[in-house]
Amino acid sequence: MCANPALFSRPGPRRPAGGVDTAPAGYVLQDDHHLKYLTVREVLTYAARLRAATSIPRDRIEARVQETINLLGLRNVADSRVGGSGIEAISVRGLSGGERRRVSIGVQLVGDPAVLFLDEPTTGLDSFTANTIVATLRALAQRHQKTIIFTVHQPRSDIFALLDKVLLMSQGRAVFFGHRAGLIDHFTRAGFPCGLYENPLDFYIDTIAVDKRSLKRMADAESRLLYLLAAYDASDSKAALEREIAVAGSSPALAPSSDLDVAYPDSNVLLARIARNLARSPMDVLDRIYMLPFVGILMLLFMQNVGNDQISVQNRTGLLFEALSVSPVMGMMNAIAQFPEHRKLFTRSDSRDARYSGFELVSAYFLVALPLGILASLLFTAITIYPFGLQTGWVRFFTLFGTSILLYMVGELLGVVTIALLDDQTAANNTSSLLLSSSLLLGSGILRSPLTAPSWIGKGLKYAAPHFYASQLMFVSEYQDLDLTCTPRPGFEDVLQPGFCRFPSGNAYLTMLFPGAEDHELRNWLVLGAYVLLMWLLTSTVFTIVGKLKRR
Amino acid sequence: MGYDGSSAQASPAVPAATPPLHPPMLGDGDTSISLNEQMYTALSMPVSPSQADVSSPAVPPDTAIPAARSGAAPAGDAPPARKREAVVDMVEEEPVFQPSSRSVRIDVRNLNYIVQPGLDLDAQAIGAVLTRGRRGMPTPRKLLDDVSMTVLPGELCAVIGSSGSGKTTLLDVIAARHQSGGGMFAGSSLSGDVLLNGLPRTTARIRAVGGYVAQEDRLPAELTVREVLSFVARIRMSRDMRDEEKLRRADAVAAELGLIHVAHTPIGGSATVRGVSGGERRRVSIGTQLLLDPAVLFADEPTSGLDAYTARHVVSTLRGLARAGRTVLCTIHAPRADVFRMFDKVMILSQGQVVYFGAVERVVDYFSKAGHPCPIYSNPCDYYLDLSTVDFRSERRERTSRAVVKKLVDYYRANTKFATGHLPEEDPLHQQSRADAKLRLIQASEQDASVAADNAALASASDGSKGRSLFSRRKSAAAGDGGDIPMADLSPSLEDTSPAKVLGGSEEDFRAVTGASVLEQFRLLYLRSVMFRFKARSALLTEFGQTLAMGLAVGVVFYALGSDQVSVQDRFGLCYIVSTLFPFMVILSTVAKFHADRPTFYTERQDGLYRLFPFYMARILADLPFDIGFSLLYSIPIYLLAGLDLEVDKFFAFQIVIFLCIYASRSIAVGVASMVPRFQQASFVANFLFTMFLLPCGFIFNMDTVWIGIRWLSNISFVTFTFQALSVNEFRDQSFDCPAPPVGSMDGQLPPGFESLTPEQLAQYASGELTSCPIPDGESALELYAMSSVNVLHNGIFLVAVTVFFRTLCFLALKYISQRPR
Repeated sequence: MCANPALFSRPGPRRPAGGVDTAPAGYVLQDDHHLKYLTVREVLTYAARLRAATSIPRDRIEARVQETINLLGLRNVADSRVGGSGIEAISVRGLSGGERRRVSIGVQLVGDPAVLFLDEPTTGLDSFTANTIVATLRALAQRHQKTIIFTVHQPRSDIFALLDKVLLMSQGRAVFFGHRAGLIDHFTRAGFPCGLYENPLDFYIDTIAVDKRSLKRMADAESRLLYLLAAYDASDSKAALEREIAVAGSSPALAPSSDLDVAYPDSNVLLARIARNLARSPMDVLDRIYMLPFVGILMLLFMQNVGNDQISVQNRTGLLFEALSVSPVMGMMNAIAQFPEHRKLFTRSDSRDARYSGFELVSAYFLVALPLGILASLLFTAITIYPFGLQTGWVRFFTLFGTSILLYMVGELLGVVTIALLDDQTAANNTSSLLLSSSLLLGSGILRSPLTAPSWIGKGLKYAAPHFYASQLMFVSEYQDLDLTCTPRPGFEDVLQPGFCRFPSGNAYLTMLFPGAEDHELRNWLVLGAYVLLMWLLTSTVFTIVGKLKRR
Repeated sequence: MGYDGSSAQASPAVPAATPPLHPPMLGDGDTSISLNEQMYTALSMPVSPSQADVSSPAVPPDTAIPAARSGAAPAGDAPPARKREAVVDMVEEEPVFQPSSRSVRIDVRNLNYIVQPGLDLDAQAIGAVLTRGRRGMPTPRKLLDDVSMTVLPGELCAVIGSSGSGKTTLLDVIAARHQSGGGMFAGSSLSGDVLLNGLPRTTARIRAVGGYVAQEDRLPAELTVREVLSFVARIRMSRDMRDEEKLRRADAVAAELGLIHVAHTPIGGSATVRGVSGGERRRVSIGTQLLLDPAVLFADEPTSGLDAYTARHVVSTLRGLARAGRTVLCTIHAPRADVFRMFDKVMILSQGQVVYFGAVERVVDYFSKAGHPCPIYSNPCDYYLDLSTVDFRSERRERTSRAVVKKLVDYYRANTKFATGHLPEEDPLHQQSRADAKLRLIQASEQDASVAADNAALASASDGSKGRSLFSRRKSAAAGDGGDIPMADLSPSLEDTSPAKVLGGSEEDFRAVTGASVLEQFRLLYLRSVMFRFKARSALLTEFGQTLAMGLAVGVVFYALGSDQVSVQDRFGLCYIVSTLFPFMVILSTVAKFHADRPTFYTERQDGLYRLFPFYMARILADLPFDIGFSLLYSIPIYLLAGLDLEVDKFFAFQIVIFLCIYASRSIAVGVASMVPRFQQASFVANFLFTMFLLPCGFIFNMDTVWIGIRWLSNISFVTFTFQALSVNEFRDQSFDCPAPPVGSMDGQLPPGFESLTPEQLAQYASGELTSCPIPDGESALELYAMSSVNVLHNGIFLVAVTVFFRTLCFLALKYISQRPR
């Protein structure tokens, strides 16, 4: 329906613009996006700090936030968490819809804009809450001298009563603009009196709407609209508007915005916001910590000490293979589960008014995720090495841990980049799983030995797979100088031919399956590290582009 | 009184000088026009001097028709009343429907409904119980508190209330769709009576005569409007009816609901399919219920999410259905004034208690008497709804608003014997509104007759119009002998006489229509399921692309397997990855898809559209060719690229085993998804199961060395059985190249693997007693991996058994575990 009235609520004198930290205008979008575990106060504080220059002292920001909380009547929920919206509201309970909408308004209001635009601030709220929102807006306009302009769809009569000025639009044309009181009068004169027990706006919107269901109706409505447009042109309201425009034209224009636009905020603010949001959710933190070690524990159910005989080679290899394949998958799954809300916040609102780049977002998110990833990898490595009886020693421990965490990071960044590109959790999951599986297939050297693979894999493709470098590092670390016996364990004497010993030592295993891997340790570390860096850059670039596209 | 002007003076909010107001139903007939004219001419009088400005622009012909009757209109001006009429006419266009074949009245007496919410098994809820003991348990809530109402055939009744007032609960209890929530210790208790034609409401009775339009439209997005309607017609209408007749009826319903122009447009609404508008979708939902010719129609928030026009159209559709003899009960949240007036009766609920029940016309009067006149220029419904809402924003507000609500509830209880909408006092104003209501009914039936002719061409002609005229007569008669249907004047107390006797209800009223036979249901469901697959083109393409990508990725990596000693390990690697890669993806995507399909399935089952078994079989059989196709798309490229043996039996055994494996994983996914009807939990369980099946498959660990306490897992793991079957199929009758025996080496160095040979053993090699070839053939490779005793056929049978087990589990879960989408 194209008859959305835009309603103006504007006080007479405009306050002098360009205060020390005054944003010229704020825009509140129709849907609310907040990090769900933060409290109202935190959301507002971070919003203020993300758009303020570093030079603004903390206590001033706190005072501004408290003022905003008071203004919006959020005092009793100031320290409650915001909670999820839609389906997530069930799992993460928090504020009501009206309170969430207030928080969205607050996010703009902490910038103390002189003009506040709101797109359908009452949509999706029950009538009662809608009324309180508009009442708050009215108070802002009257007591704080702000110019407030919002669109509204089907406002009730109690909302109508709160407005100062009304603009009724149909088909892109102004059918009426003027004081609320003049509206009923105007339409009554034009021959469309509103019933006493009827909401005037409902009736007028019907009157000016163009019903496209049939040609005849359309023609009727069009002609009615033309008539009303002409009536408006001839009205006092139109004349009053023209007078005001004439006056405004001679007054000085709104001063360009203040120093806020120039300075960039401290990027620690973003980091702190993401970290706090995560820290507030024990389940999300736990997911990041336990999932990887959990796989280790599942493996422990099957296998304890692998031993040193020939059969142990299969078990050892299987263990390392699992470590190789699980580490990046867990990173990816965490990213796909937890990154979307940051993406949403960035693309739908923050890219518009908060001052941080895609690069900063990816970096901050990544830096928050890293310590937990390190913890998970440490636990996982410990579980993989000690109960299974792999070779010990600090260097070996560090090698296994290092490859695991680097792969984990590759997985996490892959998850972030697929989410950025696809914006759909299932699709991102499938795509990144497929990519990781391909890398495992090409690079691990366990499924298909590089020795027998065709040269375009053995000499070419495999170098593209991060798993190739990680696999070499892990297998060299475990098999180098490993003592293997040729005596079979009890009960397995007849499995092998007597005297034949395929892998008399770990080194023999490496010579046979990973020839030359020992010599490339430095290269492997460097390339794997470079992989993470490249992924980081790629993800940031993709994000910057996605953010720019979405802003349009 | 009400909106009707004759009583305007009685309302303190209206200035005494105000001329009479328009009657409730605008544009219903000539009488209302004349009232309007008087009123609006009077209203426009004081401002008439300025009308010269207004009338100067070109006045459109339609609005410029001079109304001779309105003598008060200033000459030369466009008469205001006519203009207003044009707007009102435009909105008041009530559709006319085939009369209902049965009529059922609903009596609700002293209904109480208390629910004990269950304890969710999540950290938060359990934490609350652990820390706070019994106080941490969710407390029981009284959702309905002594609710009574009566809705008669021909009436449209709305239940109004703010969120949490219990309006949907009331509807669900009457429609026998209430369910206590999930979680542990959940329960509910229901007391009071719900009577249908005086007989207790049983699930079977209400299902036989009632249709329920849920708040969300859960229609298959890919099908067209006509396909949806004709499917319901075919599967649900009497099996004695001929197919063409059913289709004609479906088309007639589409015509009645104004859906002809979108008959071949998909429903849409999903991310990928663009389709009909929200209002049209809502009307299709109503249409699917209408096909079953329900005597009672329930609609939960039929206007939510719709714009004003569409909302009004939907409600006028409901009203038309009521006028055709049905009992229509809907919940609605904050209707506009014009929509509000379309209802016959309204119940206002607050916190499960009745604040008002009765005729819409009397709302303003009633509340004015209770001390709350409606302010002018506001919608009474909004105003009274706010009045009966408890404001939780601050304690003070909560206290005051609670006091208001309590006063209203007490006032209502004091003034009604039992809630029939019958106010104790009878004053002349009352009589007035009754007269209006009567008038309206007569007009409605006249309109009925006149529009019947127009619609005859669309609706299945002959019997339709006959039925309609019969109905009109019945209605007029009822109105004639003072039976004020919209007033619900049930003065004689039902407590005195048995309702069954008074109302003459009989089982005959509740005989359910026997729909299509099970076989026919299967046929229809099968065809529809196949159609779904083809119509969901983007999903099909995505699946195609992913499967092919996987097949090619594996095939490329294992391109041209050799036959040397190292290739032995490659082959095991191939068998392992083939039996885990695609199945893992299948498990993830199947759980997601099952979850996406759940709402439609749930709704259709709730509507009793079909039985479970034919649905279940149809779905499986319709999907089977696709499952086979995708499996082959995955396995054939791998087989060819890897250069495996092109022997017919080996080739087919490979494809079949892979198919069985993929199908088993699909079955596990649907089994889990139906047993655990929440998406997050279901994915976790499915993932965990898969990992537990994958680890003991024999590739990662040598199963003979695995801890005995867990080794049995490998005996029930479908991954193990696949890995083994593929390996055996691959290695049997295979021979591998052997390195040269460690004899006669030039420099005295032994080849790799033979360094530890003793001189005696070397001699044995030289004499040929021992062979230098560790894995000369497939048999020895299998021995190495502890698989020499594996039989491909047995493993295949096991995979089938896994499939059957989980599919049966799924069937039982669909039958016995609520699939209500959450």
